[in-house]
Amino acid sequence: MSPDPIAQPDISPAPVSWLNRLSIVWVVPILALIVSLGVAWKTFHDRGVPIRITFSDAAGLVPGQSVLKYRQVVVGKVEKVGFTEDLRATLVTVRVDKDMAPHIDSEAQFWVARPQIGFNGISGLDTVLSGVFIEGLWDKAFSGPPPAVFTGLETPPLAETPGSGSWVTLTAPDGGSLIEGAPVLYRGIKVGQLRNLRVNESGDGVTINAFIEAPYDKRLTSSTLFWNTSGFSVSLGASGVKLNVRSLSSLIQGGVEFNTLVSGGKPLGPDPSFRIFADEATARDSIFADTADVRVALSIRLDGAVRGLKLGDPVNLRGVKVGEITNIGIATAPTDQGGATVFQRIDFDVTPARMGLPRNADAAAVLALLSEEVDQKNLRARVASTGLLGGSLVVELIGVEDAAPAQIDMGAKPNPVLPTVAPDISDFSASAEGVMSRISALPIEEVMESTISLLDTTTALIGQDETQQVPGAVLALIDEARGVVGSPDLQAAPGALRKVLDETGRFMADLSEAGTVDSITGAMTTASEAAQAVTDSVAGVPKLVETLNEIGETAKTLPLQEVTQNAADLTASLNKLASSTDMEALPKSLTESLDALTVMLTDLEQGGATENLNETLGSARKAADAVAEASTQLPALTDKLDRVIRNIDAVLASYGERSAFNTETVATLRQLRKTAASFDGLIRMLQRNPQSLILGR
Amino acid sequence: MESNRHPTLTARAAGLIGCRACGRVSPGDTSVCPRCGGALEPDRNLSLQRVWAWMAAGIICYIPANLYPMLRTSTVATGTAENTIMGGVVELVHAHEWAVAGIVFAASVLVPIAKFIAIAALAISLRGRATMSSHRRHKLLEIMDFIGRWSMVDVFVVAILSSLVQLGYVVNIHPGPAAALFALSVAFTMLAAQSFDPRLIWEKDQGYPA
Repeated sequence: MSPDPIAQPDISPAPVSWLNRLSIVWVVPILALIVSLGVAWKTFHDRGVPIRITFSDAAGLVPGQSVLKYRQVVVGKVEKVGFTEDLRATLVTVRVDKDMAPHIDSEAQFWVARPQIGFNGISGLDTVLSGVFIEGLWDKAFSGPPPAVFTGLETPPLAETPGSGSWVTLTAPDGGSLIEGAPVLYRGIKVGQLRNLRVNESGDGVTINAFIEAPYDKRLTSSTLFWNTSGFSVSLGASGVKLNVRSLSSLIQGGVEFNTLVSGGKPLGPDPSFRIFADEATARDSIFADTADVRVALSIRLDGAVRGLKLGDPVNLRGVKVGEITNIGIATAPTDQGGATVFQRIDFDVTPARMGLPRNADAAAVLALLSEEVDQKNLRARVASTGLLGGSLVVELIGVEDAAPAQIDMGAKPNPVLPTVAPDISDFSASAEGVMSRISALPIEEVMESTISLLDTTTALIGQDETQQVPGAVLALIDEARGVVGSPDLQAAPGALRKVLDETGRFMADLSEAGTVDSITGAMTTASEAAQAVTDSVAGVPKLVETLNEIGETAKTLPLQEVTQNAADLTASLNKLASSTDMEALPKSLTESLDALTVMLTDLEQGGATENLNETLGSARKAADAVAEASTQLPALTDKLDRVIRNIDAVLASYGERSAFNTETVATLRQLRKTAASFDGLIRMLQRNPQSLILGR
Repeated sequence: MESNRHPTLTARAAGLIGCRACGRVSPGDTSVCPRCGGALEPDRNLSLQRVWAWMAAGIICYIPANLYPMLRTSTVATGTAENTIMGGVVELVHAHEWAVAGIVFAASVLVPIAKFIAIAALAISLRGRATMSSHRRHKLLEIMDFIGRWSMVDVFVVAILSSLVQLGYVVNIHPGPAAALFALSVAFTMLAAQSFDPRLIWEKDQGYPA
């Protein structure tokens, strides 16, 4: 038997609870979960209330970045920028902070704050740095549940808080130079702005909303006047020229000024409306018209056509304005003959208070006064001109001494008609006439004629052949002079030449003076004889040639020293000649001679000296024949000359380069060149500027 | 299986228990390591619990970390801008900074999510049939452990940026709530990876119940 096995204790591990088997680490994720859920819930809870706003455009709004501000404090954030269903505007979803959301009610206003640069300054500069944001405006008072979609304003509202100013409606015949945002001035200080300029419903004027800031809006009463201060005004009056510029700002964008000129206005009603007058003067003039004073309507009838009267033109009683024209029209009235006559009817209102009557005087009192005046003092109505140039017209009620008796037509319709006299608008016409007559009296025609004739004379003078030929003659003269200078005849003494020319000139002048063809004929005969003599002498040419031959022979034997000396002398003389004053005087003599020649030739032509000339020419031809005859012997002469020249050449060649002769020659040549250059310069100058000869440079 | 072909004697098979801290082997019923004083856990199940717990905490933190802004940049020109992790990646892509976008995306999105999946896969594999060999799973755990810390790159970037870029009114960078959450998430995931006892992988192969 086996011993009992040792009783094995029934050991089983103590039951470990499920909780004990759980790791402590599980606390961590549980905590994390709790915290995360808490944060998520808080985020969800605090995320604000979405509101939706439409804007025409959402320029610069960035979802998640752009904010909504209330009095410059961020109270929300743009969540989404989209479009309305019809794509006509942008729809911006903004999440407003939870604590601010309840205050956004139906009267909340939203607009996009952007930098604005206008004539009034710069605003919203902060948006340049921070980006565009939406600005909202609301108050604590609950005015109604917020709409599903707010409509954003295009421009910031003016009245930020109630009680910061008043809105008034202004009307004007046209917008003038007013623009959106133009200032409203009170005694020259900007106290408001113009907004929402628009043409009114009927299309016959414009309506403008104006915001007047507090406390200046207290100045508004029912008798307040608004007038346009746009641009500048220039008025020409007895006090001179007046330039009126209200402010630079209003010069550019226009402006409206208001003032309450008369007391006693009533407080403004709920929707006050005012008229904008064209200018301050008009506004002031309108005071009486706009007051509640009694106004009496009267008329006058004008037979003659008077042009220039306008509605609103003044009616003056002895120079003081008592009323203004209200209507200008055409009317007919029965004449005594039974027909009808057409006339101009001017209606006007007068204010009794202005005529010295009590403020509440009625029409009867006015008419009584006027009737008395008409009866007693010949008061008549007439149209008269006023102003510096009589440009504007007024209706004057004035005592006319020699007026025909008349009475006020009390029964006329629609208004009593005052008697009239002829218009007093002739003053201007008369003075204008005087001016015109004086102007017409001016000897304009004579002056014109004189001027024309003077011009004609000048033209004729310039057009004359003589005048036009002056430069040509001068040029020809200079050419001649050059020819003279270049001719070997200059070797002859210019003095003598001048003398001869002088004499010739004188002779020619005498000839022309005498004007006797006979003497010319005689002279021609003499010339003919002379030519005959030449012919005769030519016969002796062979002999001459022989003589020349001899000269050549002689020249050969001439002592070189002497020749040199002569040559040197010659060049010196040439030098002297070139620089002599006689040379300078030469052209003058030439001119004279030429003139004389011209005259002579003219005379000759006139005198029919052709026959003599023919004779002379015949003699000349004879002489020429003789010359031709003689020329047959010329070859021999040429040979001789050639030999002479060769000799001279040899002589000249024997001179050294630096001999006195050479030097002299060179100097002479230089002088000549210089002279030629001077002439050249003179000619060039004349060619360039021919007038200089006439005008003296 | 590879391990079956080369059977090894494990501490558990020998009725002993090893210390994970110092490696000393003690008798199976020892609860405190006689050398280093570390806790010796015979119950491997507790270890797995810790893995799941840390991982749950990591995931809970990771979700808001991606929803809340990571960086709050306020500049003069654009005002305050907030960037979530993915928002930052998208912006980098738009700026054609492909490399930086890739790094941020890998460190902040890919790696953490991959870690969650890998740890979950490893933990689940202890219960059912594993498709990967034990050796490979061990390698995966080691890689996870190594790579985990690099997820902190994002947090470092935020920390450095917000301490450097404090230019007063011009530019300011502040860390958003996501930065802290993300850091927590990464820490929790690292703890999860640490808690995973690699011995569980081997013991399952040898037939011990998990």
